[in-house]
Amino acid sequence: MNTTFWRKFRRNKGAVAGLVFLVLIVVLAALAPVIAPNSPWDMVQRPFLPPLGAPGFWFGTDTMGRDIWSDLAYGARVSLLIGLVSTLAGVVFGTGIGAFAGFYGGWVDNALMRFTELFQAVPSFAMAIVLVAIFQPSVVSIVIAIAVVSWPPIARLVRGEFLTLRNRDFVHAAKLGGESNLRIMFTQILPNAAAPIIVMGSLMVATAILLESSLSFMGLGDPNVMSWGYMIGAGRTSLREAWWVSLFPGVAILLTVLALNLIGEGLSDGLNMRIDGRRRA
Amino acid sequence: MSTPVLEVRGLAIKLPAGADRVLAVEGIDLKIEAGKTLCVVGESGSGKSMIANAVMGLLPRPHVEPVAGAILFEGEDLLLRNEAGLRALRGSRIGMIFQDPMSALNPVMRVGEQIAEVLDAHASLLPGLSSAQKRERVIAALRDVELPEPESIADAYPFRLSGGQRQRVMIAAALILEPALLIADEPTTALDATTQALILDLIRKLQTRKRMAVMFITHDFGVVAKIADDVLVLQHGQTVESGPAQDVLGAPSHPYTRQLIAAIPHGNAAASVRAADAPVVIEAQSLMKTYRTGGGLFSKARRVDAVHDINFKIRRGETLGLVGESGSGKSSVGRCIAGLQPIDSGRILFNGRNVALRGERGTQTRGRIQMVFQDPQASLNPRHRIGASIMSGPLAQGVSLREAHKRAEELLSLVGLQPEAAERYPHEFSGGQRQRIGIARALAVRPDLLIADEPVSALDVSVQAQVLELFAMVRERFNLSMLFITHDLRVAAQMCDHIAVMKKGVIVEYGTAAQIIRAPRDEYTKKLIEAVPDFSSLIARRPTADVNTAVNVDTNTAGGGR
Repeated sequence: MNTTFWRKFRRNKGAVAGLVFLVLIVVLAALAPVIAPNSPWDMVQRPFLPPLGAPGFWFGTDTMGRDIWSDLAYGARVSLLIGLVSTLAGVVFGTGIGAFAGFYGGWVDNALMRFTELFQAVPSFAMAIVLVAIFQPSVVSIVIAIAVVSWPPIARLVRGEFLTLRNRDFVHAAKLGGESNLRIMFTQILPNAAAPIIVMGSLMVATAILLESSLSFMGLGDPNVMSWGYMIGAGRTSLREAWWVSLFPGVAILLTVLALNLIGEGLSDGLNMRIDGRRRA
Repeated sequence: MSTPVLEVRGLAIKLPAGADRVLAVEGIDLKIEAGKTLCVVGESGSGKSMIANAVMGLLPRPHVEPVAGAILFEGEDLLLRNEAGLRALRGSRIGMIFQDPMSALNPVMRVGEQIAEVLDAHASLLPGLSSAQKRERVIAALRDVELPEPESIADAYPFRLSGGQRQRVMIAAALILEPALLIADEPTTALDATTQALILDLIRKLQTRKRMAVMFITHDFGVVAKIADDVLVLQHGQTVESGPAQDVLGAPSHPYTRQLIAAIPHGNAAASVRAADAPVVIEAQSLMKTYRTGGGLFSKARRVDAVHDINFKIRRGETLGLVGESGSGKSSVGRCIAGLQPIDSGRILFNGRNVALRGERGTQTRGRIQMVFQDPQASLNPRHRIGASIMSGPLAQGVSLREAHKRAEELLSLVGLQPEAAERYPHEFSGGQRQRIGIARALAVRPDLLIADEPVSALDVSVQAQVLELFAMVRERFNLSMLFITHDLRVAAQMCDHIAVMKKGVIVEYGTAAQIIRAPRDEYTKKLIEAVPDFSSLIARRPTADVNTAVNVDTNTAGGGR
């Protein structure tokens, strides 16, 4: 089963490139203290040092003389952490809501979907700003805010899958066998709905990273951690004099998001399954 | 004789690497004269559709490609024609109809426009055809296929037509330019028996009138008996037998042909009724189920009485057949009895207790009523191993893991599979094997009542016979009561003690299997029995002289295309 998945995944060259890049970013984040010589907050050189302006400062320094390379490495930690954790929270919550709505249908479905629409009706970025502002900017509040605005699409997706899967004969058979509803939902139906959830999840990580960057750019990031969005925000006032301060974190966000999207596409190729369990040729 | 319309010589088609065999078909020889019908018969996977697609140039090249032989259409080799050359023939000289009329028509296009597309595609053949004339041709074509009110049907969208009507529309579109050859790929398999009989009659009639050659692909020997002049039997891509229909059917020379013919449900009802005084397991009393659809703010709700005042009882060890066409409500009855659907009113007595009441269902029937489903693809969870699928029922009933294991193993060997099958996933099994697994799963919880909802209609004829045997075997062994839902009277007659014939949610006739088959009283039942493509109709249709010559079969050897 896994071998066919890999064969399909590998056939998508973009996805492989994305995976390679993402692994590099993960390594960069994990080894930040080793790779990056300076603390992201220390002023180690004169401000506005252009890239390659001094030995060891490949990416130059920012408005306060901080090493941009070190900032990028530590920023990767925050971006990935927030992207993964908030997506995980959003997927778990959204899957729960969607599963109950789709499985039970009727008024349960109605109530849960109206509740979901409540969140979809408010522009997600505005809601995230409000939530972070109320709870004080911190990594935890940002994760919560992003999770709160990102679960509705997952709930809708899962609901749709459950609505069609609950009428499959194997679900009827499980009912006749006397299995409990919860058991049917999570052992019979959920494994069959996993593929689209995983694909959507990988794309949500990308959106979450973007959202976090936007929040930090607006000054709503956690003041105790360096993040890519914060770097762009801080460099924006001196964009014409020191383009490199904003450019490098911007490119980092761009490439990471692109990599995640490519991986998502590869996952969708690899996991796509027909109902009889065979994979599409 | 003049040149045959279609002649295929030594055709071989290769399959992509990694398929179950190298060549889809090999050494195929066939010949169809004008006004004759050749039936290509074989089970799924025998390569019969490949031949049709090769003639039409519809093979997914280069993965699947003819590698040897010639396809001569009116003397010219189609394999040498390029795509544009084939396009000129398709629709004009060669028409084709497909198996599934539900998906063959574009749902957002009016029927008339879709038929007119054939005329537009071959506009060069019909210079200066005005739109009024075009419409006339379309309506004439619809009239040809005996559709009522062809004018209004031309303006209708496909969803308003029944399956049989859609198949008639497809035939009209295929025949509007009067092709010399019609290829019909299982055109009646998706239809009810009565509709099938009508469509077969229609094809036969049109063929005689237009002197068309017809290549008819089917797996059903009943259909062959009704329509074929010549027969070609395929197995694993090889011709096993070919020749005039009365020879092949009357005195099959190859064991595989004999096996296929023997597998046709004989429809002989059992003379005696079992278990006449055993306790009643399930009893339905004035069962009602109505579906309401639509009913928005601005639209009126539609009501369909799927089940209307149904009464029956099944004793222990007894089998009741519920027979009807699609839409008759027979599956709804099965689902209501199983408890998969709530009923609107009435009583369902299971071992004497009314389980239609709220709350009673769970405690009284938990696992005691089991179902075997129609679609072997959908009835097993593709993500679960076979063993897990079979064991999940008993485990939910509180049976110990070891005991559940033991039962799964026993049942797998009982239904004719290796115990190792438990470790594999459903997609590794064929349709017939999956149906066996479905039966094993149903038996794993030791049910009193087994509901079989069209359990063999998705299977090939020979596999069907084996699965029916398996049903009969487990019924005896476990003294099961069965509700056997089918559209096939032959199958019902063979399997059941009593038969209830359903039409539009109502039981129109009820009796022992023998009574229903030999002396039907209701008009509808009589119609159903007549529509069964019966093997004996071959003898009825052919002059007796033909049947006598069928004794001389020595010259008709396997593999020889005559």
